Amino acid sequence: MAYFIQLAFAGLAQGCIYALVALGFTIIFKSSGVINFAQGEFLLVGAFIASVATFEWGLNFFLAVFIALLITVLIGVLFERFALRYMIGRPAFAIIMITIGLDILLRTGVVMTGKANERPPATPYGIASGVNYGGVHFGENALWTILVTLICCVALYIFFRYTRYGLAMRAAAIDQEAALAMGVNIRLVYALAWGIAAAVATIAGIFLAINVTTFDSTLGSIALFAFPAIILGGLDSIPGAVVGGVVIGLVQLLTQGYESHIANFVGIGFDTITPYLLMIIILLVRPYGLFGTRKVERV
Amino acid sequence: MSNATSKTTRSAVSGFPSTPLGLLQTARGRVLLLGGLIALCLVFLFGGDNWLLILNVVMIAAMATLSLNILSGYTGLISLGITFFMGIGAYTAAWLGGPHPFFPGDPVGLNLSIFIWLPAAGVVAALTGALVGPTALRLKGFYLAIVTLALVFIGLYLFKNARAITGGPQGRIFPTPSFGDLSFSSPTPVFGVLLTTNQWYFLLLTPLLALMALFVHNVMRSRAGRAFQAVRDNETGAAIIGVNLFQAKMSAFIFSSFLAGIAGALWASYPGGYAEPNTWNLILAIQFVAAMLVGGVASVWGSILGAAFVFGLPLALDTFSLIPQSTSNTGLTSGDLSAILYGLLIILFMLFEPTGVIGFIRRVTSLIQRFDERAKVKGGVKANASEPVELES
Amino acid sequence: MSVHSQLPQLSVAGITLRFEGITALDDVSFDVQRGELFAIIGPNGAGKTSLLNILSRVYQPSHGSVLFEGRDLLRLKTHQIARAGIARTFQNQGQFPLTSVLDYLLLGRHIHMRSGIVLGGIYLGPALKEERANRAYCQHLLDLMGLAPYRDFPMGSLPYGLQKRADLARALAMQPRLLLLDEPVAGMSLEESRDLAAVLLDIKEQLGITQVLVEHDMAMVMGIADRVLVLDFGRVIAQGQPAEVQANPAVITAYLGQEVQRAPSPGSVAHS
Repeated sequence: MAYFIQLAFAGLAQGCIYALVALGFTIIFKSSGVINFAQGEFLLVGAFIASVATFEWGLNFFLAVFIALLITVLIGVLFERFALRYMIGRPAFAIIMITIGLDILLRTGVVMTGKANERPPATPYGIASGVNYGGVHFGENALWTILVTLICCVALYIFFRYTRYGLAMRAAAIDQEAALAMGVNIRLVYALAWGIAAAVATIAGIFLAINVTTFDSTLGSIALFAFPAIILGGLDSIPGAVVGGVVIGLVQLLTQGYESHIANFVGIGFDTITPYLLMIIILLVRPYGLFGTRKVERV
Repeated sequence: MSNATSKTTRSAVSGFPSTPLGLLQTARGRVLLLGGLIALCLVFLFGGDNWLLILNVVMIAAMATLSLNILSGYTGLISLGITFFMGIGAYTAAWLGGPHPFFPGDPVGLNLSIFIWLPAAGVVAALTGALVGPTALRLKGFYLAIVTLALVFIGLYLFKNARAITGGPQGRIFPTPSFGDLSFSSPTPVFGVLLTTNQWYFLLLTPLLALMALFVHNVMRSRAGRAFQAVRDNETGAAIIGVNLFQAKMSAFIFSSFLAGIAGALWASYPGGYAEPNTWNLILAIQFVAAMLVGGVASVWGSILGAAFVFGLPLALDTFSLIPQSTSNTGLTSGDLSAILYGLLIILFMLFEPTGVIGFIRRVTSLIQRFDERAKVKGGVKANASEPVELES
Repeated sequence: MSVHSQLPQLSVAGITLRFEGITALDDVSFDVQRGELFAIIGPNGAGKTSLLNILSRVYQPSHGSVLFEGRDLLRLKTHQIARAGIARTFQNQGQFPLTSVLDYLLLGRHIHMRSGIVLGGIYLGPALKEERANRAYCQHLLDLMGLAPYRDFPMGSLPYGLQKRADLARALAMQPRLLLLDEPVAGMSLEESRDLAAVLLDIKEQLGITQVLVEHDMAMVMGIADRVLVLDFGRVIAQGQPAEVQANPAVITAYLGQEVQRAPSPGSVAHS
């Protein structure tokens, strides 16, 4: 039983990371209909800069995080402004590929600094610290991951619900032309969307880096699991992204944990595909996900 | 098109004869064809192993890119999953053509002839496509892309676990072509002539690629190809005109998977004859997508060009140590540089020329062409007197 | 022409279409006789294109039935109407901008050709024979329609009027028994409309193809239609010969001083 709780807890924490990445996906998608394949590299760049700032520049953790946030948000906003803006109305394949191009550039850029092998993560607390209760180790990083994710969710909720810009974004997501006609600054909406997505990805990256103890340029590949998360939750639903992320995290960790019991049956690495299998099932059965609106590209 | 010698079908865009035998009709075509053949012969005889290796890799990559173009370029079905089908083809080839297992625990191999394992690679991949198709093809756009992405990971999982066939994470040996006594991997003199491995592969791959290219070109200018492109351009319109969407998409999928399977079998066999399951990963799949987009969407030549760019260029840079001294000091690999290169290329092409190099060429020549034609039509050419379109084979 | 003695080729009964709270079509019924030129007119939003979409099996009605040549049309999927003998032109062009005019017509020949991937790839032999025959056929059509100089031009590069003409040629290439025309003269100049009207009459008289025409241009419609159906807000408000429909007070009211009042009597000068 303790084992199960351990797994569930880890799954929840992992799920929160997916949730943050998925949030970024969904926010960008809602505002501009684009799926940002480069989201994973925002994770990497964020964690990388925080790490470099901490260990090479000797900065305080929070300052390092702040700088990381600044830089990734800048990258996101600039990419949107100078590349993506010109892709409006272009075929989906082209848009997917241009974000993949950004993904390649960001990841290779990090690799080219030569400092991306086995990096220690920037962290304000010991990697292994945490509390033990009932035979279960509640890691401090995992606890903070969950807490910060919750805070982000609440913050975003307040932002979208009660602030002018949040309202502007929601209006633009519903009907861009109408919003434009009402005086909503669509350029600002796009910039905000990418900025927020980059920011939450950075936060996720920092926690993820601590979780894996040392990281390298493949850190961002975990973002691929956010795809099943957003499909599960519904492509255009922000709460769906969070729920989807958490579910995927749980499914993955539980599979990982009990895999050995059925190893003869499913072999190794089954946990790497359970999210995708789940995703395919969802696409067949309920393509708009748990919370999405009923209009999916399905023949 | 009012050209003096317009008994030949000409490409609307470049005015250049668009049929192979049509090429033979014009002086320009004959010269180009001859020039091309001579160039190939020269390369074969004097190119040297390094260049031949690069060209061979490019040709196999071109086959894969061509298969991707069929699915995504001509039919408009986004696919990030080409390496899944390449892997299926490769492991089929390995099973049928690989060496008999020597030690217990060696992967299976029936050591059959290339005439069996190469086509079989295509057939099994095609069958897999037929299996996966009905599910995947219900989806469009981003959803289809994600499912094909999932396919890659499912493939990786399957390949890593099917140790008996794939050799597990350590990988296995793949069959190299052999004809009777002659084995490509260690060639013996034939009719007194001793050729290198790379030369033999060149001899095999060039006609094979040419055949594939011709076949695809033919399909695309016949009924099936028109249907594919109609599906890409406007599904509802195509259906109204009578195209069975599901059938067309499945056909494209199966056709594409067939070629991908063959390309996969060759990709694994050459140059090292050894590959591990992780070969068939997402990064490689994206490279083929990049090759298609940079070279030219919905274009046979574009597929070859794109493969040359994305696969040939980095290989050439590496082989001939063209990396400048300064960067090699930072421990940079040519792989990183080429990644930056084609990351940039992707972004630039998607922004400015989404139909690739070929698209760029087409646009320029069509601009010139139409300027020409408009002048003629404006001159009051009445609409009835054109000669019938005589089709050349 | 005595049309009442035959069974109608197209029999529409009680068609109702509802979506997202709107009733686009409400209990629409009419018959079309073989060889007729049947027009459907009505103000904007009257549901004309929706009706055409149902007939071309893009939409599924909420209620009602459609019989084409005695068979249940609603059972068919979109791609099956072509083989059933129905061809439809598009209201807006731009579906296939990169396809050459000839290739577009050849697409129209899709259902009359057989070769698949294998034969097409080999090309020599059956596929080549088929291509030759069908290209000759399409060339003939191009000549008839005055499109020959544009044979190799991409559709998207043609002026709008020519695109619509090419679209009609494509529909004819399908050798249909029923032609559904979606606003064939929309966006055309007066001269182009007259030309096209003449073409439609030729189609009727020389090819004997039944035509169901959705249109806005009253003058053109009244000049060539055998019978007219008037829709307003999804309902049939009049049906019959052009002259009676034109004089129908309900029709006049529906248009409320727009095109009906400006429709010229035969022989008078063009409307604005």
